[in-house]
Amino acid sequence: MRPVLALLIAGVAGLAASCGSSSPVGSIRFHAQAPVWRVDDQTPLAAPPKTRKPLRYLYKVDSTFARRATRAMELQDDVHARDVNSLDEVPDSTWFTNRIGVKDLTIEELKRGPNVDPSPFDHKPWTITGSKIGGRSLGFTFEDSLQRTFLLKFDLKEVPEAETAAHIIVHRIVWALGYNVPQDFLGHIDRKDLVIGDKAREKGLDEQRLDNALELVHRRGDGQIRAMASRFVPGTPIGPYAREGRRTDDPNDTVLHEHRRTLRGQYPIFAWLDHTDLKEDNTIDSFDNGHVVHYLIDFGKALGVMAIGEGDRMNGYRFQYDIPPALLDFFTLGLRSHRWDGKQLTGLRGVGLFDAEHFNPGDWKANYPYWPVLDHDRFDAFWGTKLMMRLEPHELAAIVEEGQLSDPRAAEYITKTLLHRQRATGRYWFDRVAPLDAFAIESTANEPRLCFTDLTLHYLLREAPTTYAIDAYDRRGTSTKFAIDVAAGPRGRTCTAIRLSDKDPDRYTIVRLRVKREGRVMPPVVVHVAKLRDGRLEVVGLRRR
Amino acid sequence: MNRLLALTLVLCAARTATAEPVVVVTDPPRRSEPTGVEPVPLPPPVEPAAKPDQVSGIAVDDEPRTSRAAWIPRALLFVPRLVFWGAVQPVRGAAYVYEKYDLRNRFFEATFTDDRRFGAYPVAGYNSNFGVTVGARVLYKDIFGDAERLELAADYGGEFLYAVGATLTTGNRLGPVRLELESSIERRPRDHFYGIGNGHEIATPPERPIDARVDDTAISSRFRQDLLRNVGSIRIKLSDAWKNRISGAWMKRELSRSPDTSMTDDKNIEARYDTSSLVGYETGIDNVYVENELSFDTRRPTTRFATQTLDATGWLVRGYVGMARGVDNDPTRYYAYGGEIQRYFDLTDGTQILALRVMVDAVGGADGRTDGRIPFVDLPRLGGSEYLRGYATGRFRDRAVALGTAEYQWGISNNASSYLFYDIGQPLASLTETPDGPIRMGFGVGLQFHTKNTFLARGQLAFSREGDIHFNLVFSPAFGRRERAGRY
Repeated sequence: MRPVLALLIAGVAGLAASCGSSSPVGSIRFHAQAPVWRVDDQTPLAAPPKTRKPLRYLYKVDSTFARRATRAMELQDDVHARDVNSLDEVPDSTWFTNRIGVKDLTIEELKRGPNVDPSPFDHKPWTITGSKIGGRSLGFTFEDSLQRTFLLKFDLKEVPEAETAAHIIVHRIVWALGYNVPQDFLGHIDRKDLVIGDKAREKGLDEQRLDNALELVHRRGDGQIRAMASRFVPGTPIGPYAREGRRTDDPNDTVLHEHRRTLRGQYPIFAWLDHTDLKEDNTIDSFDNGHVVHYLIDFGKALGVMAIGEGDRMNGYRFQYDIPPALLDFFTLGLRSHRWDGKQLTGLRGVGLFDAEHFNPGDWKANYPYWPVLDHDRFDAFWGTKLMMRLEPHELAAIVEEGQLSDPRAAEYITKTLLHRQRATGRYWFDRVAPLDAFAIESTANEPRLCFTDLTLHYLLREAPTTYAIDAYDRRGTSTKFAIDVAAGPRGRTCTAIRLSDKDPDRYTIVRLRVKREGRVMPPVVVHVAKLRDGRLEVVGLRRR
Repeated sequence: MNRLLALTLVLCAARTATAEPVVVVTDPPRRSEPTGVEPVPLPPPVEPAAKPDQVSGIAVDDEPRTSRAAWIPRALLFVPRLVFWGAVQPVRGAAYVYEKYDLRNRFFEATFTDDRRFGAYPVAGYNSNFGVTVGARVLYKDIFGDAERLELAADYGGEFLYAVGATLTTGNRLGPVRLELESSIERRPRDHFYGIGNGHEIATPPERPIDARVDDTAISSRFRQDLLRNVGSIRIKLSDAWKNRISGAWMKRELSRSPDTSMTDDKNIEARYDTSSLVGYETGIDNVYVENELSFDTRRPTTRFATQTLDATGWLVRGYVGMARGVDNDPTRYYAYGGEIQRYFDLTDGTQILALRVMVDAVGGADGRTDGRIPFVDLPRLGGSEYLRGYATGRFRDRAVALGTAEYQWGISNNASSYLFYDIGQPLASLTETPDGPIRMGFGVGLQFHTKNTFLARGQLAFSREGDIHFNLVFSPAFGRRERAGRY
């Protein structure tokens, strides 16, 4: 009997240990201080960092197999985003500025985006200073009559309006969500508005070559050329930021880029927008006012435009050289179905291969592997999704208008598709993390109340009855014996009284909330509440699990 | 014991006890439309800003999310990772150098004029039957502004001891009519010969050289062919689908034993075949061939979302007649005829394609063996990487050949597709006579690589019914057009 008894005792002891020793709220604790909402990463540098020159072929080799394989073999740590504050949010920095949802953005602001200076279309003629003619791309640099420098892009004849419209629409959205982008303008020009400058002539551009190049671009019925002018970013460009590591000569760049939520959280956003041309080349750092500012550029291949330009129906579903699924297709003789099967063009001018029916927010792939986005976790994706869900239908419609599509049906189609994809993205990622947000403490005379919003209910993504299991722990992770079940409030906003721990002077209390919906208990959100020095009770930290 | 258990359960139960819910509904959030309601705004930024290392507000960090035991697989993968990383450095280095030093532009700047119309550049190729060829090209494009083109070529190695040639095409200068003139000299030291007819292949050399006129026993042999080729063609585009092509070739050929010293001596044609029975071998060949071919071609891709280099639907129907005559005392005298039908079926959105082909090539007017009128190098052939795959190049030749192909192609990525093929074919003494010998069958699988507008290469593994295995690396698609004038 003795061994059996010993086994029983050990079992019970183990059971007890499982309930008590490992706290269900984890070991993370926060300082009893207000969350930080701005990062001081603008310390002046003694000298500008070196310019990074992107090497596209090496980038492709590394993306396709070299670095991709070694990265997989490194079995890197699963790291929570490093550039987040105690609320798991991204504070303002040289990378990101909280905009929509945090600040009121009027429709006019959304339509204008970052464009605060006069449009170059009002300051012609333009003097061409450089050109890129060849392949499927055609672009010039020019100075307008105010001597400001821009990059000039067009639509190719075979896909009229699509590239410039996609660029402007996505540009405005990305700015509204908080990213830094240049000032980009859309309009029409006459051939006579373009003057070849001395620099361009020295590089071999002449009237004949310019005319030949412009033969390839889309023109309106009246001969006007539709064009997109992107202003050079302020300061001195120093090349793109790396998709891995950081700028070692920039002391402000302290977080590995693949650990930045700012970048990892782009996954749901760019999946939504089908911005498959995601690569280092489409980022730019600028040395401005003594520090580095980080920009996203060039969105013209989004909204399914790259699929048309490259003639690639798999774009958005596979990397350009995606060996594992290609091998699978090889061995299954191409007989297995694919998500893109049956995806067709709409026939609407200015619309890429872009729909909602064949979209799965969790399966999306950029044209080449881009590590930060590939490294996203559920929490990064939740953050990105939360941002994009803030754009309301009428705001999206207003932004799409900025694409100046000649066929109103095209604008309507893009708006509707964006809305459908937005909601699909919301459903997908809000199902993978307890979608509770906007936590706040409302203090009354008697007891504090914890308020929060269930984003799934808030956006009417699901309508199932929902309750929240809430319990509380002290700083040491010991249960305070406070536990309640609360039904969701209307529109997903719920407030409930909570009992705080009195074991610490600052009443540090950890509240665990679990969403119960459709017979499923979601992983919890753990909210840390404490009294600040000024006596206010505040949510001082938060982690989703 | 029971008390301990009870205590444990009480402790656990206490954590899940519920209290009376207290729900307070606040006012609707600020942005309250159902599909886009904004939660309570985040607090305004707090000044001053915090340094990057103070942003998280974390006093005590959480447990790492990665297991501590991860060092074990990391350690196991450390060496493989280093080895792999070392192995890919040449590729990375090449990519780095290519772009860092802008080799593409430097190449064009060094080899072409500024307008890229005239230039000279080196080339290299590979043929799995013959090996590596290196050479050079001089190219003059768009000579008078209408895609006229002059190309001078020189090659060494592979199938050639050396080869030089010139080709001039009129491009779009003459509208629907395109003229092409070609002149070349080739020294081909290792061409294949397996006899004439449908005989079985033997591995052991016969005691006596085989008389190919009466004995169709096949054995691998090689011979040298030195040729001067002058070809002219006029292609007339009658409509989008209909084309007519008139071509003519004057060829002088000297045939002899292969000079390849790397080859065992008994593999030479003279050790294995009675070359006095092979028309033209000892006397050389000096003849002219003229042909007219009419074709109806509607083959095309079905979608912009597949490579434009591979057809997915349509028909190719073509037929030709030609005749050859000897020059001076050359006894050549025969006529040639044949045709081909190809049909492509798009099974799924241009990415799964079934291609069918039947083809016949024949020569007539002489018996091809005994009357000395048809040089053996002019006889239609089967075998190689396109026509009756699974067999060696030139494995079969006779007065007629018939070929049937079924090929299933499917896309596996934007830049690659694969295919399964099944070829059947037979060399025939005559199209009107009962076929002699077995029907030959080849089958296999291939991978082809392309960009949107350029075919790059295909590699295929082909098997024959008799157990031959051939790997071919080819830089042109299967189902290409078969050139006869000056090519057989």
